Amino acid sequence: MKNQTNLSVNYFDPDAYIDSLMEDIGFGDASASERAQMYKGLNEQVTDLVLNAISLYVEPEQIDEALIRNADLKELGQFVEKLVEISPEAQYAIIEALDRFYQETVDTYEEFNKM
Amino acid sequence: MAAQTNTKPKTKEDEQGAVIEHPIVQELVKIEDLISQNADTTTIMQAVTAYSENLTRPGFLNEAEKGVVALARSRIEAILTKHEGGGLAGPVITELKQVKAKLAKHIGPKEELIELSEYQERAKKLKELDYKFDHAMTEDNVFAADILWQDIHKLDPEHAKDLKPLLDELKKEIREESKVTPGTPAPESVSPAPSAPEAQPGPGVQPAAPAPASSPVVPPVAGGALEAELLKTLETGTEAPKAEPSEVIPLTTPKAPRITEGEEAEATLKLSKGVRELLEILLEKKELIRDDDAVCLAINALIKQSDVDLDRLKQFLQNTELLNKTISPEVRNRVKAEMDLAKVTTYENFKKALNDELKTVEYTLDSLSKQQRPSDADKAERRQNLTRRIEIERLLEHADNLNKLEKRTMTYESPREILNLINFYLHKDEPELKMEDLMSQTEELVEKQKENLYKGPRAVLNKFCCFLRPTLKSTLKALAEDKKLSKLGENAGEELAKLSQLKVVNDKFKVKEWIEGLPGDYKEHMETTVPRLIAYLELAIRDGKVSSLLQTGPARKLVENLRKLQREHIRLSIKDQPIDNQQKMLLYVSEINKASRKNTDITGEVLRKRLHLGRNEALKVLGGTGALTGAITMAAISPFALFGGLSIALYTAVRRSKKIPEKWKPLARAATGRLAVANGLVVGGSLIGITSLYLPLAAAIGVVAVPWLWKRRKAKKGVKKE
Repeated sequence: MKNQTNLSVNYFDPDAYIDSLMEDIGFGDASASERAQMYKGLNEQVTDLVLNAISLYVEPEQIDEALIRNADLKELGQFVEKLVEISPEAQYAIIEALDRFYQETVDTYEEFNKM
Repeated sequence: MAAQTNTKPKTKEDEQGAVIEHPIVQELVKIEDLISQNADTTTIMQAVTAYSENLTRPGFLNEAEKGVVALARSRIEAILTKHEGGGLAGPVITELKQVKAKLAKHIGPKEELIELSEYQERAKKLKELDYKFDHAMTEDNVFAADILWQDIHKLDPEHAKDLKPLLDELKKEIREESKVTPGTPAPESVSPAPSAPEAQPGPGVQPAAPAPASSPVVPPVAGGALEAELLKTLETGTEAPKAEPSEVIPLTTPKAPRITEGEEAEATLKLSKGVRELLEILLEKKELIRDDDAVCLAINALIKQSDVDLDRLKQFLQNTELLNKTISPEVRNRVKAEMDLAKVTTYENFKKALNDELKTVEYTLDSLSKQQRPSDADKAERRQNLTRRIEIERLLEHADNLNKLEKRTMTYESPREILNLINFYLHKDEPELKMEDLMSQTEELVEKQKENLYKGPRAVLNKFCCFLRPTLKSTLKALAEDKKLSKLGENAGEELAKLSQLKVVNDKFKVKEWIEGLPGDYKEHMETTVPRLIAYLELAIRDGKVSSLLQTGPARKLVENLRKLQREHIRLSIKDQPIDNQQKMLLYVSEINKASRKNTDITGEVLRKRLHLGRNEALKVLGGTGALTGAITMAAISPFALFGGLSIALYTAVRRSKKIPEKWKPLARAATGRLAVANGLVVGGSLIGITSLYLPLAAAIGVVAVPWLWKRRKAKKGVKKE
């Protein structure tokens, strides 16, 4: 599993990411309610990872740029979107964080399975 | 200070929006609609009676501002004049007249009635005055502020009352500062002149700001935008350093002598025309060619230094052979084979065929993902399709590259690529020079340009704050003073400082050793000390990064390792529980979510603490309503920052201190805006709620399609999972 990524090459589809992760940690055959519960949990974690990655890696100049360009946006989400768009660093950090999380979660599952 | 008083100076649009959205007006609009739709008299009558009754309801009218009532009244008058001659039944007219009387009673005697347009006019004027007042205050210009305050007082005494304490405070400060020289306004008497033109552009700049004011996010963002814009002007000033001071801020002093020391550096901080042209030919992405990009500047410097013939260099860089090497023979063969398979000969057709296939694959994937309980065959199909999708994406990219290569329109992906090649070109006659040396040479060049970049006007802030410049060590030491970390024992400072050593930071096991070596229980530390450390360090990183002051690399590494340990700890605590694996996984995910929520809580707590310590006035400046604004405000107000990094302390300092030269103020202000955003992202996100954030975020990452980024990532990650 090392040195691999589970994200598509050209874009990120959160649903596909979470689905694929769920399959890799044995939730492919789980009941609908369990799947839903897992989805919710992973969803929350992924959002947190993404926001944190942005806040730690976005460059100050990019915040300026986003502020100038998008001062009229009403939603934080929209603003974040624009911010990520112009910040390769943040994008890279997001993907790294997501990859790392994927790996860790799968490792955890494998560790649980060993016993 | 435009946002200082949220109730009064709103933008015109905002004002109108608020007025029109008010129920008093809204209900009336419904009645108007009924009339215009020729509804029957009973319906209209019912609506009007209901409206009339609503008006008598206690509190309903009192909540409304005068503008709202005035608008409602003028609308009723319009209805009456339009329909009095006929078209409406008598009772309706009578009822409407009564409503009008009720509204008039609320407004008071007729001479006090303010028509809507007048009201808006006044609000606009007030806003302008407020803006100028803010400027005057920021520039510590008591003289101008006083005059403006009087103007505001004439328009809106109550608002003026709010502003009075601010003005008094400033006056007091100025008085204290200039106690040596009698005649308090002496230093000020000079400043009205520079501040007047400074205030003048105010309304001119204004139009950019009002639009956002309708959203809750706005006040800080608008402020930030303005500041950022100022900053940008200042930064672009690097291109023409001499014009910069007079353009951005009119100074009383003709020119700051301090600039001269950086002039040499600044001279190189501009891409020469030839280099810019060259880069434009070679790079597809024009936005990568920037005067504030260290790599571009390094190219510039390198070409200048070595006095190379630009035309020959261009020829060399456009050499197809060179680019040819970037695509391996295997890839070529692969693409050719696929093209044969698809029975197409041109790249265009091939790409079209691939795109069509991609659409089918996506459609299949989409329909598969909608199934609640997919069968094994479905799953296999899904996997197959996913693999094919990845393959198609790759093929498309390769085909694109091959196409460009054959058409000789292949472009470079980043200035760095070009820089490396130029360096290679310059040293191609020295075969003994190794590739690694060349690479490190280019790195050095870039580093030097980076230094230069931070030597110019933009570095001024750094200079000013150098005494605040925190290292990871000092940050960690400062953390020891936090009572919440008291479990670390008496020597908390030294214990924490140990963490800052590079070999510890980079090694998960060393960090673990450190935690185990702490006095007290490992488990307890994992649950109390570590989350706090993570939150504090992340705050410090954001602060430091935003101000470009803190070397954030080691700190980030440390946070990463701490987080890893935290997850490991959670994993171990779940491992031996007597539940099945699925339950364990569910528990694991919910536990790590709990940990990140705790992290956000601590962040919020720290920010609130800063808020608590902060001045009310700063709150007003950046304030507003709404969760995000709240969060951003919290993040932004930190006159006594827990960490040494640049903080909002600057904001107050910038506003008040005479020690910061005028032209640096926009920089400092912009920095504070950034800080607000960076910290606001985390806490604001949690306040707003994850679900509402997730969709746009998904879209945001969805648009990540920067090829070079993915290349870099592919290079780092190796083979992809098939």
